[in-house]
Amino acid sequence: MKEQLILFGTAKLAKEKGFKEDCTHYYNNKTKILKPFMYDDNPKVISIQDGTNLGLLTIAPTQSLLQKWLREKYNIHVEITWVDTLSDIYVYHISTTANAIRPDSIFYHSYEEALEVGLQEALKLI
Amino acid sequence: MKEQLILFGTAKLAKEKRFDCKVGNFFKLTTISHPLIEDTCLLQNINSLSDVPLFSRPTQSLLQKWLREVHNIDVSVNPINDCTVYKDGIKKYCWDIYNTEFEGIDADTLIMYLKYEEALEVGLQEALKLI
Repeated sequence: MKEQLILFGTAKLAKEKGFKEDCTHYYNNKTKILKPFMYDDNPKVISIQDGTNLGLLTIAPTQSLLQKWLREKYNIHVEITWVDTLSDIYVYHISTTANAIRPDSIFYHSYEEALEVGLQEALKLI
Repeated sequence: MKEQLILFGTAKLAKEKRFDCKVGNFFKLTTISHPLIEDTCLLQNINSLSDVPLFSRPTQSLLQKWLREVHNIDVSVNPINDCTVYKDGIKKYCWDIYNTEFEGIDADTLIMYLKYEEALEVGLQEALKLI
């Protein structure tokens, strides 16, 4: 079991919004392939300093690190609710200091899927 | 900004409940004068190592995922936005636990925490106790 890394589309959006935290993985913008900064089984955290030229790379944080970044930097909370305890159905909620946003009738069959969409929508608010 | 790692009390409880995902951080109990060491290593199943007083130290989110996927226990943290309890203008958080067996919420919503991570840590501990 591993931490879930964000998908390429979300990573690209996060980069556009200024996400530059230390990460273990990155995407090659051309191939969209996810790779660790060091070696496979023990990826090393790479410090991404302001001004670092990432070039064709887009850093890939875990979903929870991006969630934390949104919460601490922008006060945007993305939370997942398990709607149906008998079957796996999840929804995401986004709340800011100004208001709460909940998508209508959109259900996801995994926690990670719901969180991924929630993170994307939250990034669009910045 | 870093992922939040669990505290020793939670790590001890997680080991008792047979959490053993590969992690790169651990606690080690050593001597009386320096009883607890925090250390890092290559990713491995630390809690499986026998005869050594080591305790896996996963991130909060990995333990949260293990509880959800292995034990069907969902721990969530929600900001309190209700004006009736949010009078001082400081954002507060509370934890919730959902489980397929109990189907109920075991959260004590009267207890609020100033930090998201603090609320999640308590939620994780309470969830582990349900196993």
